[in-house]
Amino acid sequence: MPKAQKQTEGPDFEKALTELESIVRQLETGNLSLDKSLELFSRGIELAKTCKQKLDEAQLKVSKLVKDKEGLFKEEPFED
Amino acid sequence: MPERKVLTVTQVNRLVSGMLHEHFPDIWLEGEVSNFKAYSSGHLYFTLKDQSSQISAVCFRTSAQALRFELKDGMQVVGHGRVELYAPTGRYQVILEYMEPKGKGALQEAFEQLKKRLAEEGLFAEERKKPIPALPGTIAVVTSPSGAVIHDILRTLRLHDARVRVLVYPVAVQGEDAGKQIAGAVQDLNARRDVDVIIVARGGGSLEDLWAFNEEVVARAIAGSRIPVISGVGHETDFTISDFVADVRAATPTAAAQLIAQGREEFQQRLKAGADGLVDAAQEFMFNQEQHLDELIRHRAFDRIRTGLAEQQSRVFRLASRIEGLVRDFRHRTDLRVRTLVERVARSADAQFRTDSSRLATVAAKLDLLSPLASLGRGYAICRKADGSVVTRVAQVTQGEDVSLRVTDGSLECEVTEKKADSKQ
Repeated sequence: MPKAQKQTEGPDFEKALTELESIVRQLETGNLSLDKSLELFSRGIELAKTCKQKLDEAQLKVSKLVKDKEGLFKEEPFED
Repeated sequence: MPERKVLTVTQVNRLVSGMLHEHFPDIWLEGEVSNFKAYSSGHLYFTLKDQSSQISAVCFRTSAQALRFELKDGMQVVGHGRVELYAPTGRYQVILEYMEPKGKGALQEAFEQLKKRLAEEGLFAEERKKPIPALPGTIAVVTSPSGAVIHDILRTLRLHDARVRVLVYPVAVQGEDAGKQIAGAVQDLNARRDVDVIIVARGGGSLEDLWAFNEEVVARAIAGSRIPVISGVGHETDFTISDFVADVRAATPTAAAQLIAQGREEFQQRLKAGADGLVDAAQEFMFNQEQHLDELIRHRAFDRIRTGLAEQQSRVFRLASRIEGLVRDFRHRTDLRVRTLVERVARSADAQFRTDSSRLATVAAKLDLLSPLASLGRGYAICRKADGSVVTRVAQVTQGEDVSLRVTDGSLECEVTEKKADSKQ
């Protein structure tokens, strides 16, 4: 079985964004204590920052999977 | 005896050739391929036969290149062409310009049968479909590494600035082994943990060309994939079994790439909306808190405390100055012994007084912070009606009424010319 080289970050992004959206909804409905509001704000800002950062630092990277004799995969640069 | 008309071999062949041209310029014929030979020139030579006879056949290079299948011995074909005499051998042959395997109908049949069987198994069911992640980190593209398809996909991703990691899994997308390769690729990718979406893709073509994507082994591999699969096979009008079993069918390979790019754009929009919402909520929150604080400060309950404290303060100051005066008197009037004694008393009283006044200063400073005057200093004004009551809502005043705005250093006498309630809330 080929070993994963990089843990994927896709689904984590999705979760982070969903959490951010839920925080905004909670804040918009109001009726929260000062402490709770502040806690939600800082969590929301943290989530938005992480998502934005990940979005910005991502790059389009293309490689070709090549199977060797043992059935293990190598990644080679791919030129189209 | 009539005169003999002797013809040369060439003349006979020419005559026969002319007759063949005249009678068989355009025929369709059907037969089984045998003695198949592909020459390096690109021409194909073979024999077409049925149960009782056979005929030589040629498919020249340009026609051979256009064939959409591999010609093999034993294959039943239907071809279109003309009959010609090959003068050097005196044998006639059929020149075929187009051929199709006679099994084309059978292929269509196989497609319908498999589609029906897999549908009955529930492999195409909507509830089986997995959502495509909005922002995949890595996508794997199972397709031919050469040709337009991978190029189109990458070009589309670049066009939309879709910053995603792309793994190209090279496979044959046509030919006998293609189905096995595609299925194997989907399985291999499922063994990895770094793939978020798989795209299986191929450009347009005939039913035969796309056949690998109609094979059961491919359908089962896609159905068994834990990773969401997008199929982008052929043109808009082409449907394959892979399209039905995949989580999403994209009309073309380019459309599959657009789906990925769109996901990113939507994610960005959602993120922006989320961040904006956060800022709005924060501003709203601060505004409400500030208003709440101002209301508290203005509350009458504080008036009494404020007055009370001011009274205490002046009493302490009065007492302190009296003590000071007495001490001064004593100092002047008494001898050294008494003075020493008095000074000791005075020192301790002084210390006490200092402690008291520093405590007072602290309290006063706090009060100053809480004072509505501080709010006024920040640009707020207290609006009062003629009876002195504070106006906090539009509804409290009527148009034309006189109000007084208290600012830091005085008041402004105003008339309400218009009332505008906030549309919000």
